[in-house]
Amino acid sequence: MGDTKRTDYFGIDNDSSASSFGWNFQSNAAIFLAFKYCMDGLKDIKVESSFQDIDITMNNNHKILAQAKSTTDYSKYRKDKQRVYDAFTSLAVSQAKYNDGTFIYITNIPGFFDDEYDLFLNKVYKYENLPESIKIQIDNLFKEMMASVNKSIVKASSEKQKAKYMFELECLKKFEFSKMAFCVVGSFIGNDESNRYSNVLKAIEEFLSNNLKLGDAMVSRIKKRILEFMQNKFQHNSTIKDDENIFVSMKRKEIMWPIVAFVVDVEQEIDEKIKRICTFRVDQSFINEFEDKKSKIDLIRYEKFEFTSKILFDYGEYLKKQDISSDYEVDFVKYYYKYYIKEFEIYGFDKDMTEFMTKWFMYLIVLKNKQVATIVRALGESKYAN
Amino acid sequence: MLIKSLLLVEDGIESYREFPNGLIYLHSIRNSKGKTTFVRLLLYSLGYQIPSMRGIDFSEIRTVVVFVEKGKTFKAERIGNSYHVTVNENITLDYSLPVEHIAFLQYVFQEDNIAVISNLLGFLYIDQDKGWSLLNRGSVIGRIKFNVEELIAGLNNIDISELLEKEKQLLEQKNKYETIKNMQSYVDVVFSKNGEFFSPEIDKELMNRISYKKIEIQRLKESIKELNSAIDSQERLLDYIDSMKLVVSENGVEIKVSKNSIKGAIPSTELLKARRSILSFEIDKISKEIKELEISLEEQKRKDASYDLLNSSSKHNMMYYELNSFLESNQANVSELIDDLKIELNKVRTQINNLIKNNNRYINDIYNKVYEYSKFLGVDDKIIQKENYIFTSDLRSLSGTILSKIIFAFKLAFLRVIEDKIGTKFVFIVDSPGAKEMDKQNFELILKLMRKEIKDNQIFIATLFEIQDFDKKYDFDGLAIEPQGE
Repeated sequence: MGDTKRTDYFGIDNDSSASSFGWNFQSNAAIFLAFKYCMDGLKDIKVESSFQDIDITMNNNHKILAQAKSTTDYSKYRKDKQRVYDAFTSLAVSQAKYNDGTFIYITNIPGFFDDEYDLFLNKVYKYENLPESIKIQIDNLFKEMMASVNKSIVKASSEKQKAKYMFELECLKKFEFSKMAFCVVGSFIGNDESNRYSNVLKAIEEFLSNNLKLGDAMVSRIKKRILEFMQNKFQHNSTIKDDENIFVSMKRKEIMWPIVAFVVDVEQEIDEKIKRICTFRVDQSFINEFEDKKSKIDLIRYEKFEFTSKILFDYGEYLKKQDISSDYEVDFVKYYYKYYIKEFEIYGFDKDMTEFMTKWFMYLIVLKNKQVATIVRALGESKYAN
Repeated sequence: MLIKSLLLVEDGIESYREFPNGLIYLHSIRNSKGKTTFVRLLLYSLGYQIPSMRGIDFSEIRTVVVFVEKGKTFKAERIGNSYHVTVNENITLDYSLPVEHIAFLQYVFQEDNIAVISNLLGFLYIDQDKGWSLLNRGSVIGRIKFNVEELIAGLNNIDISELLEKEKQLLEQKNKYETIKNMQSYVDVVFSKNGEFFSPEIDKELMNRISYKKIEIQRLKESIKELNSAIDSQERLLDYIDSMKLVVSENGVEIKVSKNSIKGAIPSTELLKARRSILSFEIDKISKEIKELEISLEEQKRKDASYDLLNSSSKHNMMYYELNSFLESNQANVSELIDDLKIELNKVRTQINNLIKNNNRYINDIYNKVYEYSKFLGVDDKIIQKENYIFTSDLRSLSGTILSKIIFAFKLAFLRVIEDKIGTKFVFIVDSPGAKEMDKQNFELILKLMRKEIKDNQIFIATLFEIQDFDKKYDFDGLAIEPQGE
């Protein structure tokens, strides 16, 4: 998005068609912000809403509105003021409408301010924490902007345009800097996706390890899939005509549950413990046969509530017992599998295979349930974690 | 059914045998073919399509069998495929075999159920070759098949023949496409050996990749469908619970029962939905990859087209080109088709399973008997003690005498349950149990079981073993058809 918010607040459409790179940055910036900054308490994310490029609503209805500015070649545009003017004006207008919000300027262009160095690099940096030297630059920038808008008012060719500039001026004057924040998404350039998205991916990675406390192996297996999943959701549908009501949005549950699914659906290695509680010897050739037979069974059947709830009920009852061992998940399977073996006999596999299937899937259900509970709790949704 | 007599006429030589009820002992000292030929001719005389034995063309033999069923006496004369039946010496019926054989059996047993009627031979008769390895589905003899699913469904008056037919067709198609697929590599081998040079390796590589991706999409779509139905049924269940407006109370605390208060209900549904949205995402992703590959393929084809103009002078090349382009244009689809067929096959099989296993008391009845007989034969520890075992397809762990005994237990169990169902006593025909690793001691055991379990049935046993106590004995130390001095 190279220009000011495309849907003009005075009905003047000053949008030029969105470049795919601009859109790409905008949606990735949204993902970056969500994971880096506000996943806890996030209600929904919209990209290209009627208010801002990125429009995040929190559960307490606090808004995080961000202007995303990008360029494919920032050596040329590093000091391009017009871009920043436009962005700040747009944020100021948003603030006039949504006073309770955080207003972020997010870009892939580092080094606009003197002495900026990598202050905002891959961080959301609040105005109040900025060094004085940069605060002064921002202050001056706003003065320049107001002067320029004043000139525009004089030059305005129509009353309508004049009213628009006057409104902008009003917004700029009232702008509360303390509600502003800055962010530069680093290395967001070039066609090499692994480089372009490296910091967005990193934001996801940090969220998974720090907030959800997932292990490194798990994180490295799912982070890229989560990124691609979210990118796909925010993909620009160029066949849809620009219209005030058309934006791409993701609700909390549309983000949260897929994350849970990505985690719990990572293929589990067959656990040695389960092999050990089988009444026969489980060797590699047996496991190979199992992998082969597994494809023949209706896996979804064992994911359905009607089925899992039975096992989880029994598991709950089992946990209430006094004398359970430290290996209670495995022991539960060991003692209760006989009640579920019927569910797996329908495939007509032999006795050993049926026993193994029963034990393994029961174990997975217990395990997955535990994972789900842990993740949803970490996502601040304890109500689902039982 | 009680078989009274059988007359065999070949080239004017007549051979006539009468049979009482009870145990009929078909014996020979040497392992000659006479016994088996006779047994097969007996079935042939009953209208079955029995393949001829070496040196004997059944179609040249006139057979006349007399039997009694449900109080009526039938006399059936067969010459080739014409079948002339007289009932109680006053009604005459003519059947054209093999098409009207089922109709004949339906008339005899006064049983309309085709599934039961067409599977009879699978448990009434143990062939010396195939019988001792036929447990619950497969070939009885020649083209006569036995299928436990069809039979059990039939007992419950559910017709799954269409599904079975569909399964068969799908299997045939799958084999056909697999052949085409193999042909592709065969053509390649032939032409690379002939030293002919041909270019579209890159095309092929691209096409393969595209078709793999298409298969992947197909698979994902299939999974989405399954997820949809799981989500639907789960939501229906939860909505139903919601609509009941239940309240539970414990220690004075009242809690409304709704999908929101049921432990685990929301996460379970949301997870299924999340999986669905992940799958849609993967379809999007792969579709994009396919588009990119298709663009590359188009470019490559343009290059090939100009190349081929220069090289098409060779006759071999032309021929190869023709064949190859036919195969290749299909190949991308072929893999996909095979996969579609596999998916379809699985669906049909699941459907069959569900139809059969729903509320079918016969499964239990048959299983109980299988278990009882296995126990008698000392192999109960070799079978899985669950009623679904009668559908097992796992014969890997069984062999030799154990398998023979379990097969025997199966046949007898089917026989007993089905004769109760249609209200008759069947003939039971056992050919050469000794031929398949069964020793004398085990033979005695199955004999004992027969004497105990089907003592009122007519039993034909063809064997080299000595039997002491029988109702009639025929020796076959020569041919099946020779004049009998009675």
